[in-house]
Amino acid sequence: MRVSIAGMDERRRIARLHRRVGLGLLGGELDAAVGRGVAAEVARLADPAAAGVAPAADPFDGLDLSFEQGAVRQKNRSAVEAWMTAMAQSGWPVADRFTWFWHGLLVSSIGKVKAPDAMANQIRLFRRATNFGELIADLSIDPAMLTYLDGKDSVKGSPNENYGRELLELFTLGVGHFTEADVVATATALTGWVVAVRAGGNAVLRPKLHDSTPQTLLGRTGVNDVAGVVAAVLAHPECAAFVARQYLVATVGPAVDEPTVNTLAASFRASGFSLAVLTRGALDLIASGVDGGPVILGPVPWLVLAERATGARLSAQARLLGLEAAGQVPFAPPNVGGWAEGGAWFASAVMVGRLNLALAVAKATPPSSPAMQAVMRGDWGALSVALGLPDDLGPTTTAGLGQVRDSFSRLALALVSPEFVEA
Amino acid sequence: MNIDRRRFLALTGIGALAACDAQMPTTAPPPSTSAPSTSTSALVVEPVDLAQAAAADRVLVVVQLGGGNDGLNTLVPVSGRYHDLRPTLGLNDDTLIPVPGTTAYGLHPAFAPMAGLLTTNNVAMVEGIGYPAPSRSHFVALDTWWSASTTASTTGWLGRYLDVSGGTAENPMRAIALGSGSPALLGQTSRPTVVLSPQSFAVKSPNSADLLRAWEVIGGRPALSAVAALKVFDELRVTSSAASYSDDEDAGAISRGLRTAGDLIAAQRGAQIIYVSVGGFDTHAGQAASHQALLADLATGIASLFDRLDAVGLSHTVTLMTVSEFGRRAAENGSGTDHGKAGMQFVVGPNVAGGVYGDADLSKLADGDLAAGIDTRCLYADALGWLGVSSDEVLARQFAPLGLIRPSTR
Repeated sequence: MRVSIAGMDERRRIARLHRRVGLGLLGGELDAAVGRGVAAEVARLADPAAAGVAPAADPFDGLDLSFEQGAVRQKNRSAVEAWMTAMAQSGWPVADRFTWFWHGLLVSSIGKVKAPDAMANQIRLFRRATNFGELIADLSIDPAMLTYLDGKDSVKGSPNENYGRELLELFTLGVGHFTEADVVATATALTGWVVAVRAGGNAVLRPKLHDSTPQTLLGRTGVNDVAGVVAAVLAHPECAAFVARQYLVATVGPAVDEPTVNTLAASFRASGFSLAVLTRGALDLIASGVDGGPVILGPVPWLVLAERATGARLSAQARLLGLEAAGQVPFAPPNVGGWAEGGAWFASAVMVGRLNLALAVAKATPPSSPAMQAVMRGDWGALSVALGLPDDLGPTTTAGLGQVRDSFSRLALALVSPEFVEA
Repeated sequence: MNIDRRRFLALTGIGALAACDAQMPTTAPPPSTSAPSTSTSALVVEPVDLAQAAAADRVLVVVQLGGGNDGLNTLVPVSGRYHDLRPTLGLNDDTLIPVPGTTAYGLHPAFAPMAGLLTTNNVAMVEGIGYPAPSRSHFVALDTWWSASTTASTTGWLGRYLDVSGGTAENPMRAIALGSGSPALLGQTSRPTVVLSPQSFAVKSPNSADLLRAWEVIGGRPALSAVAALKVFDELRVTSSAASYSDDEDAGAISRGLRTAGDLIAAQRGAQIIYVSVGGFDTHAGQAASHQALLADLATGIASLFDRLDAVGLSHTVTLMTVSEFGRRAAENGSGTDHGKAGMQFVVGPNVAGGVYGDADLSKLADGDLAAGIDTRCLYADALGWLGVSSDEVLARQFAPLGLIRPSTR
């Protein structure tokens, strides 16, 4: 990990704040942000309300997403499109990027859940969460999660281990910090929560299906309900570090060091697992010049950053088909581990998919936008600023850009350049 | 090391100094001069013939059954104990498809489409296969199956095979991952071409030639590989009249993947390793219906692939194997099965000596799971022998193959 205090200039830190923790700057905003200074930018990102930004609206407001009324595929598309639009137009970029982070960590998928309203409700749960303990408690009886990881089929005498295992392995502690007996104890304590997700219902505890035998979980005795499971998990010393590490890897960078993780974990734990401690922690670290190496943007955050930087407004069809070919569609992570991040985004198919999506963005970019103006002039320095990059595009990229004549190709290539893709 | 970090490192190929079992030679071994062996001894590896391998005279198709396939309801041990463990999911003995040479096992009825391959004894079933010190974690188990190593590794077993046998730089079509990319195919230098759908694998621009030339400059090596593969796929779409390339909504993911695999093999453009990744086998609940559908998709896909290859006279060049991160708990959980340990895998093709290898001893469960009697790496040794290398070039040491692939009959 590189730490530079004096060497990293204001622009670089500000661009990184927006690109790694937020959703990127709007085209042409970088100069103004640099003028305000890094401290002011952290404050604005941490609390947009203080800067006069109205509270964020529910992205799914007004949509009929019920499974029962049919046309489920179309409804799912509408929900995904509404969420993408909300991110592209977000006045609360840190909160919205944080919601996206949770979707990739606390995974459910429409492929198994089938009901778009349940998926939307899970995203709403992520959006309103302020405390990790409450988030995990709500998630444990969330209809989409009860369906995706089979909690709804876990009953007294036949505990289903699917959710219990992934809660411990993927959501809160990680491999090596729990035993097989802890998996069974978690599953047993959570038995009896049933839901008919496709009927739009909430989860209900059926006492006859619940095994209330006290379990020993992670060394804590007497655990036989949701609150007990959450308390045992939060009390485990690894929990705060696990969550802090996941978030810092996604923001400060994949090579973030353990002392940095542990320092933030201690504050997180001391705060009673306040989620604002995590986002503020990442903002402060980046603002002070801490860098864990490039964060490779997955297609969804990358597309949001690209739309915001260029002012492009893609059609719902172009967005969805493009994201599918680029390998990342909201609501549809490939498995319970979420999307494979990092170098997986350099696989041939998804790179080609992303190039096609970049061409669609370029074609939907208004001619008056600063990025398109810079491209038409062949002014690569101005293009770098318009795209909100921490540094100017490097010589390899500008050499490549110089080889093509048409503006659409130029802009698309800039958007798939390492400088833009690696935040 | 944290599992997510391990996955990240494996995928990016950074952290190359992390512990890796294999001591890899930097050059290909000299071809063996011995005559083709007809010995049945398990320790005899097929003669090395890299020239043949490079010409893709021997193709390996791997189907990854993601989620952990339930081996006990795939190849079913005919026993009272099985029915005790599976009161609702247990398959009736009289519905099972007979397996040549044994009455101790029968296949799930969904395998009816593979009757022809079973009759010609070209289906090997490896029962009770897994790693020492197995994990019930999807991701730890997958890492182990991909890397063929029980410690952290940045390369996969097939990636290391590619590295020692000419790499992928010359021909990006040599290793192809269909569906999601597989870390099994990542070498120190070798990389697969990953294709989600052949239909969408194209650049849609009127100025694509200029665009792609500039992209090669800007995107570096990954873009260079992608552009090389794009050119081949463009040509395939134009020239291959037999190519289906359709996204048939009715066909399952395995059948569609294997149809594309058949297209690629029939096109004879040097595709040597084709890795088809599918999910859905994590059958914790509602298993009876979903597992039936998945196995039917697998059986249909395999049977159709070999029918197709028979029609173009290429069957003898292809061996197919399945992999899956673990089997499932011997006892059902009510409507499904939780994560277990040892499982079963198929090896199919005209060069395969069919039958059941190993066993599933339900009287000796370990913590409720089938114990592994066969090390996964022994199965890999057979596959590596088919591809023309000895297992110690790719795995940490020599593993005795099971002897289930006959020397090629050509």
